[in-house]
Amino acid sequence: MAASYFRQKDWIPFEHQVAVWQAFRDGRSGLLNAPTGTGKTSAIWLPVLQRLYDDGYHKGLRILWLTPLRALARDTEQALKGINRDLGANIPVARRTGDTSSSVRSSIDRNPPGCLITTPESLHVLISRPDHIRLFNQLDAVIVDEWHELLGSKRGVMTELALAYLRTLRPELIIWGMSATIGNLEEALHVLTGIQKNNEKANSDKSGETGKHGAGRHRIQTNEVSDTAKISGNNKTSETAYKNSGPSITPTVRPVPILVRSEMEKSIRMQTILPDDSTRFPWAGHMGLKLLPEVIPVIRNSRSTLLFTNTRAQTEIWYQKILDTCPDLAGQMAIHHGSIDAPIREWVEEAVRNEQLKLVISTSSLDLGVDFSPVETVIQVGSPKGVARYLQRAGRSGHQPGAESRIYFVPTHGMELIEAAALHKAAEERDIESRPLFDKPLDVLLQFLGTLAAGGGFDPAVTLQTVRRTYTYRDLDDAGWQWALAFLTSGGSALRSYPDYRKLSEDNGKMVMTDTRLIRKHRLSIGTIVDDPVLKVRYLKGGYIGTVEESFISRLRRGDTFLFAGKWLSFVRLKDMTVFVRRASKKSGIVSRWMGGRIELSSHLARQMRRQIELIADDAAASPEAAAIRPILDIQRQRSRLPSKNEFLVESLKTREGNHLFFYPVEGRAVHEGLASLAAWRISRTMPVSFSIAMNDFGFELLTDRELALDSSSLKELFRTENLEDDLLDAINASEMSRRHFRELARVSRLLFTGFPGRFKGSRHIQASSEMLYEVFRKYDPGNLLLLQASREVLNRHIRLDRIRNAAERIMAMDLVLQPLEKPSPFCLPVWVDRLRGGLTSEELEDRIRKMQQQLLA
Amino acid sequence: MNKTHKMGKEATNSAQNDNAKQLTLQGERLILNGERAVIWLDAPRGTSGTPGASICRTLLLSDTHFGKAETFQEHGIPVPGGETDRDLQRLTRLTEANDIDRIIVLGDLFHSKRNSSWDRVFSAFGALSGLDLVLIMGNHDIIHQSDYESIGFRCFEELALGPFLLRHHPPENDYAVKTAGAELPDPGPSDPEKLYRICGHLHPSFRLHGAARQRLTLPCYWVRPDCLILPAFGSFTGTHPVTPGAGDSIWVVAGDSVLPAHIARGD
Repeated sequence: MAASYFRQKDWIPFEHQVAVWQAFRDGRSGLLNAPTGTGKTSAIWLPVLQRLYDDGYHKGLRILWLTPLRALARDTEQALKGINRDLGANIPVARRTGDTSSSVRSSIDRNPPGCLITTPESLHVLISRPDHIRLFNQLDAVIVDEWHELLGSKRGVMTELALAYLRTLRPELIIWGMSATIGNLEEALHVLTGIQKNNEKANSDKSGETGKHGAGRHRIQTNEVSDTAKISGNNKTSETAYKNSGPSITPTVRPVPILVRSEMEKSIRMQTILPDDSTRFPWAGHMGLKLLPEVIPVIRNSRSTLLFTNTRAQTEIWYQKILDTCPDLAGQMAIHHGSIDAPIREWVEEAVRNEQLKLVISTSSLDLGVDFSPVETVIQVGSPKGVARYLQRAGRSGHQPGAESRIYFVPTHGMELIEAAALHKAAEERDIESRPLFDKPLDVLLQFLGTLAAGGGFDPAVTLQTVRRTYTYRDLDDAGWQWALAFLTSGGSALRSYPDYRKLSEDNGKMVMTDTRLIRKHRLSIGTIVDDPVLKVRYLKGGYIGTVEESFISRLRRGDTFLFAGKWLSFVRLKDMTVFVRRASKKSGIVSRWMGGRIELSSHLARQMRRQIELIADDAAASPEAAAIRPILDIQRQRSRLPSKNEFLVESLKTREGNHLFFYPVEGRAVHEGLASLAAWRISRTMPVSFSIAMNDFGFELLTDRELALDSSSLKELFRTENLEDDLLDAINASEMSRRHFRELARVSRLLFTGFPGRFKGSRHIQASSEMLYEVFRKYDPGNLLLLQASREVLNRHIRLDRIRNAAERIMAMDLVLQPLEKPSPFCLPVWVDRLRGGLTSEELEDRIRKMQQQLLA
Repeated sequence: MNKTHKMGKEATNSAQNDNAKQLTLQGERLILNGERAVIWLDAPRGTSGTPGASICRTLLLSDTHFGKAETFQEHGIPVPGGETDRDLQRLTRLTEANDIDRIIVLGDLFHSKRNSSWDRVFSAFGALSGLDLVLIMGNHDIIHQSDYESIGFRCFEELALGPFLLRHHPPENDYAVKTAGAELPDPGPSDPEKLYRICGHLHPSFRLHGAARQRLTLPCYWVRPDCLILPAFGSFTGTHPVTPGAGDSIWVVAGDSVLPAHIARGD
């Protein structure tokens, strides 16, 4: 069938497509890595169809297709239906996401389609219904699109758990994923397909065991990695590959999963847009509008352009400024970001495809999936913070097979010129980041167990096996498991503290959730994306525009003007979780600001940046970016110094605000937050002092109201590696970090309840801020594993213990140079102006207040 | 109103220590306590049935939210309890240490419907028998009035006592609060609108700023020309940061100290 499809289309299949067909026919699971525009969807869908028909097609839900985005679900549905039409295949395809109306849902329930396209959250909602066992009893395969997007997120862990569970229902289930290139593709495969059965004890020490059908642990599959289909660009058809069909799997033993990589590489042209005179280029800031005059010709000369920014606020500003500069582009440009109402976004996507738009300004909301063939050029404003993201965005242009991708980087301030040079170097070398994985997050597990309990109940012993067959929970210990069960049945270890708690109960050896009110609440809160509470934005006269975070609106007063979705709006009132606005006549005001605009600099890019700085300091850099930044670095040299290869620069500055110390490890802001907290903690052990901490990707600042009198050797001692982990944990707990992180855990494990839609009032009595919860847990149940998970996740995922250790070792091996400043240097200014700050103190509360009072009442 | 509130030197100086600050409001001596409750030294006997004394030491507190964690638990959210017991102990200690004759709770006594902590609240107040207990109904007080009465409380929507009107909501939140009418014992100045109000509801807190970008948010007493707003007595409650006007004073509660953070201009 697949062969005839290609004959009909007069196409020659790529070798990776052939490899997938072969594997699929053998009942093997796997992961396909291929660039966009190389037929990933058909590579998967054709063998699926083949299998469905070879089996003798019968009704029922046969295929689940998971996508990370709802927008992608719609696109996929169209693509699959298109192929079906071409082939005359009449496999019904439907989609069920959070957007699906209840009437469509119930028709899907009554008459399940052959293929259901859905999201991880919606899949969990299905599992939370007792009839899911009947729904899934015909299931043959699960396809996971854009797996790299889910991997390493809690949604990815949700997906893993659901897949492991489906495998217990359908042991021969075939699982295929599709992924863009990331650093840890092999790990991505193992996470997707899970740990083989019987791994628990039997084979754990027979690591030497080989053989394709050996029921071994995943380690054994290093053998399998050699079986990875490495396919080069030449397109030789091998029809036999898919002619010979029919299932050939041996029951009970799953064939070993396979990684199929296409070696085809897309050619990408990368260029930095440089300022004419970089002394006038801002030292700090993030809007990047200085380079607008240089960006306009790029837009004009391209048939169709996507302009990516890092924050929604930037999209709004850029849209306005381009419109002001080029009024003739009105009607040919649009904004696309996650807060804008879905129908408007869909219209924009459609218009790009039909070449109706010359320019779309977007955040990461257009990173994924949706096929934009007409796009010729991509412009990236501000650092994308990672090589993978940059390449992925570049790949949105030149989408047709064989076409070239073109991307322009627009630095927003001086230091980003270094980042630009580093980025292009890393991209050339294809030095691409890995997705770091979660280590058995209990919050997601608790949520999943609730889902199973609502969906007809679970047998703890069986479920433990299922859970341990996921890669993420493969070494979940008995104590952790027992704690999770106890948490769901009696609340926690301290029984006395949870007298009114009941969620799961035991019924014939099964853990069940019977209270319909709890079940309803559980379904409503499935999902792990952590957001600020969002409010709808609506015109007074009616008409929905989008959503905005509560924290933004709370700063507005009646009559204030703000920019949203490319329109100037005037705030009228806030009622029932809705922001009412009218069109504003005034064309100035506040730009709507959203949280979550902070992406962490990857360690790959950080390393490349340090290399670039060394090159520039040694006058050995030849890149155009290096030449452009020289005037700024000359000022750095005059006012402070430019650290040479083995120097670690610390600048000190006294201002009206207090005493500043600036450090420049160039490790990315998350690692800097860890290093700053560590240094502050260690200083605070020796004297009572309060710190305000700021950081960016380049360095960090410790600000105090007293002079610390530390010389260079005692400053260096702050980064000693002895007791690093213990001190860091103390520092995390003393600062606001784990408190902040606890919010996410509280949301996922259902401690925070945001309310029933439309029934705001009744749920008020069970609303508490995560900070209150954090305090009450610390006081009355300090052994609660969610608290421990919060500090562990901060340590291992947010600030990255491994990276901090490396950075500390690096600093200890360097010469620390303490440089007093008279005026702010180009290095320190961007850190200093950062307003998002943390704090750490060892002073008595009352002493702090007394000092503040004296200043206040003086 | 013709009397403006006074918070002169006399009041500030007469405070014995940091654990409490004494104010004179409308000629009455009030002690703002570090446990987030106010002691009204010479309150009129008024509603009290206690024979003999013509004045009565009154403890004013608001927003205790007893049983909140247990409410969460009932809804399948495993929040450890503990604050209810601790807050009840604080209340008992405060009452005994200050020789209190009457407790007036300015609303939100119990967080929601009855749950297991109700019995503990019941017995804690039972042990305070002999005291006059008054509950000004707040928006969280949704249990049937007879249940509060069974603990020993007399319930009012609002109560005029001496120069004060006791109510749950600050004046700006007065919507939809109906006047109970019943059992307003001490006629006092007849028009309640003109009385200086003591209330809660808001859980006020104040944000302090210091050198080197230091910040600190603490629960506070908010003394305004028209009312005194108490911080929430309950420990498992959030706070709402407030911005004082020029004529307002703010006293923050730090640990168990009460410290001035914003002083009304013109005093």
